[in-house]
Amino acid sequence: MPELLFELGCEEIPADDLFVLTAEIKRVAATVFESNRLVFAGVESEATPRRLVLRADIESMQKDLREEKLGPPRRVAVDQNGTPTPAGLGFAKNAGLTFKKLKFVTTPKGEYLAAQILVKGRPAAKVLKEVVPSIISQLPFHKFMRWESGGFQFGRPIRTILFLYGGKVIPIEITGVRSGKYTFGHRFMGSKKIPVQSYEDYKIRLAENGVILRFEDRMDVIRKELSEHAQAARGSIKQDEELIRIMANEVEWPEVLTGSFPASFLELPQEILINAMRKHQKYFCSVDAKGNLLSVFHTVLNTKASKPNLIRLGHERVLLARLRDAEFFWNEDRKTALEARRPGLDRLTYHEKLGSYSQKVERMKRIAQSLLQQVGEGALQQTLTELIDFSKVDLLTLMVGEFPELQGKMCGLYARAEGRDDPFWQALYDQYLPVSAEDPVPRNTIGALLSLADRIEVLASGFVLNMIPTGSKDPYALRRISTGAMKIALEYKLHVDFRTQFEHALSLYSVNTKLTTGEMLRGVLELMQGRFRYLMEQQGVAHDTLNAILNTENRSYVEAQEKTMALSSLSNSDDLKSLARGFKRINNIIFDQPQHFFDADKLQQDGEVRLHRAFSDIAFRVEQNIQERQYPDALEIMVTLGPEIDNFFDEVMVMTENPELRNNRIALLQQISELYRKMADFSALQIEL
Amino acid sequence: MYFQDLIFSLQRFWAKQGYIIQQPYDIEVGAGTMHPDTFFRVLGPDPFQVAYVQPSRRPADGRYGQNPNRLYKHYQFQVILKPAPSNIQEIYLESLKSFGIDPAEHDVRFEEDNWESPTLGAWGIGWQVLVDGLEITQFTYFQQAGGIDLNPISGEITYGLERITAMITGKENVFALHWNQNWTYDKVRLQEEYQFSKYSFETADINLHFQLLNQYEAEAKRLIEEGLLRPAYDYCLKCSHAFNVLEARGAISVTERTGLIARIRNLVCRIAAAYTEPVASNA
Repeated sequence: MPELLFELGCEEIPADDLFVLTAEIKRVAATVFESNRLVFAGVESEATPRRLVLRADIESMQKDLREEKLGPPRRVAVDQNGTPTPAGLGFAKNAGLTFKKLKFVTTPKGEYLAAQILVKGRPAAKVLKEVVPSIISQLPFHKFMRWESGGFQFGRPIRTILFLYGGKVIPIEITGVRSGKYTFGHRFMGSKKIPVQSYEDYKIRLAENGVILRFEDRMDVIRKELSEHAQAARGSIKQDEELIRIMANEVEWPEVLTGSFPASFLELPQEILINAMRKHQKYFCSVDAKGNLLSVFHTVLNTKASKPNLIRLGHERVLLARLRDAEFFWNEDRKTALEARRPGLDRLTYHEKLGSYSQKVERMKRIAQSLLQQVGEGALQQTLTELIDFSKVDLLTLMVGEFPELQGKMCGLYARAEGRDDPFWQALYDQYLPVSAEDPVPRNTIGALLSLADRIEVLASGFVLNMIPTGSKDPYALRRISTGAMKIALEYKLHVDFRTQFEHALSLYSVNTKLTTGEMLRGVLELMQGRFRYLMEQQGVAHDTLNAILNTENRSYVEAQEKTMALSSLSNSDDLKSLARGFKRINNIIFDQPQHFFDADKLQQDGEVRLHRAFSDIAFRVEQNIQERQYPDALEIMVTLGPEIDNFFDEVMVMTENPELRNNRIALLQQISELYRKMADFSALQIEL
Repeated sequence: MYFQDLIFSLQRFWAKQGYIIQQPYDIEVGAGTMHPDTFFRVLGPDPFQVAYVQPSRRPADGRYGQNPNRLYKHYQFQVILKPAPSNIQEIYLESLKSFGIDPAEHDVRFEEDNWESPTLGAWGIGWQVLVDGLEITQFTYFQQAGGIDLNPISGEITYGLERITAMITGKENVFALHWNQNWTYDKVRLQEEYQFSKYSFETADINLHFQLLNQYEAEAKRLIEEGLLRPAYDYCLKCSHAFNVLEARGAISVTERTGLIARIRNLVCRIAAAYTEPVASNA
């Protein structure tokens, strides 16, 4: 098959966009080829900051299309004698066929005249000329811009187009740029106009002209050079895969350069140094065998440095200025004790409607009190209250003013510098953990409770302000906040009843809200349940397993999780399937029934007697196991009832004429269902047929 | 290299390209973008090419002359390329050579950085240009000004003059730069930095500035009614500076802030709308 090679040369595309684009070019192209009846194989896409690339093998002719076009109904198309009417003839003419070539087809609406039309495939070159521009216009960017008078919208200006099919140029023009057979090299290390014959040739030419085309290859170079440079500095790289990915998307020719800073700065807390290097300059750090930072940094250049010393001095000066700032802040901030900063929170606005940070802190304290009671950690009350008082004062420090991303961590570091004990400063340090679902939770219980109290306050505030996540919008990052809250509750096995907690939290606000308290409560609990589902699904739990657990009452998500895990481990067993089948039948019968009274003496048939006996045999142990949260044990016994339920339905007619017998049978099923629902709603499990 | 040499080099470079070398605007502004030769000229269909130095006052950035990199007033070199030529990046890189930076010897990076000015109702898409890790230029394709979608699109290049001089001369403190063979930056400017920082943070009369803001706003409104758009714009700039002083002084709450910015933007957008009306050609 002839080869398509397409390259869009652009001004520097943001790294954020490139992550998505590489895969998206391929996906969009395949969809467009498919819908335009092109026969294709070997679609590949690549991207660098200055080029988006697509290659594919495409059959030289488009596929033919056979189409059936419906015309008028039979009674309109022909008269009683079967002679074509003007309407029938008109349709034939429009279809470009004689009337004789038409057929009648039967549709749900009746018989219709129909034309079989053959659309001949056109040369692929012609089709590509039309459809490739539509691929470009479907590419996603975080932000679009205009740059030329036609008003075309794209991520960054398009400056060159390489468009070859079967080695020949396909002429198109986009935003005034004409396609040709030329690519271009690295901005400073390559030719500006390089003729290309094929994808193979293209890759070779680019490599000769200072461009590493593949993202993975650029990552490999960065990885390899980083480890060499770290070794030369007698250390090892502080692993940072995310930064490697970012840098690989910011350069066409990665080269690692190592610089250093005065070792005296190592007396600063490492977090501050790492932040200055990583966040602000996108530098990698190295550590010694004990994990202590070395006074070096590694930066990824976009060039083969001809004068590395010149470049290194530049980077060192920039970092030095940042470190000096940080050192100044660290020394200045410690002149004021954290305790002395507390009154400052009165004047610091948390939100214009919700008042100052002092008010937020007061809310957090009341939330914490209610939380501690519920989880049986009342002894921590005094410490937690003190922690909450301190938790936001770092917002008033110079360091956090300049480096907001250090919020929380600085609070902990300043507390440590004041000689606070480990649990205390660590709790402050960890108060925003976990930031994402992958992050660890706070390292100690009191830190977990501090983080949880803060999260409940933020969630309640979000709902009070009606900043509720919808679709892709989540202005207060409430999904992230609630995921963290759920993760903490689960990992620390805190039996939090979020209903009572949020009822209490929402009562702490005295502002007008758009939603009623009931609506807010429902909303926030739904959000929490959604996060539980999300975390469980991340661990591979199936959708129906979660439904089975969440359809029933759970005292806390810790219990729900334990039940989920127990149920999930059985999810493919035949026993469980049989039980699920049984409960679907039970539910069909009892769902609209009032509570009936059960009397064992009224059992008549063998099937019902057997079911009752089997149930009675296990009921006590099941109840006890569930009470003791021994869910796997409970389940193991519970599934034994499946065959008895099957047998019951085979032998016994529940809906019999005799109301006394009927109601007694229903009552038996109700008893069973009531106990089983303490574990799960087994009828919600899916059974493949 | 002296600080003033950098200015000469840039002026010569852009003059050679046929650009008007304009002078700074004579009202306090926070950035070169606020100069009428940017604000009015990027609106409407007519091409324009201009370059100028703009002393830019940012009261909240003042540090009493104590911080090696932060200034109450710094100097920008602003270029407007309308329409943005297709080789705009090459021209820019060429301009670096005019003051001794050969891009091929350094690590030059165009890193995403989009620009927005809520007061001017303006935003653009572009990059910060980093040389060896130091940001020396803001490079923007203007998309909107005064709330109006621009067509043609202008390119805006803003060089940070202090930073570039510091980089080239290897200085870590802006006050140690040599302005010329006899004067250092601190001798020329330190007292000014100290006094304006003190003024902005400590002693500016808050009531007076709120009054000024209101009066400037009223005057701008009146002038817009009369179709005197350029004087009206001057009063918007005055509003904006009064606002900046009040903010540095800590006199504006979070709630007020949004409202005040919206008031100024509203004026600016009305000016832009009137300016681009097809009948009234006021340029």
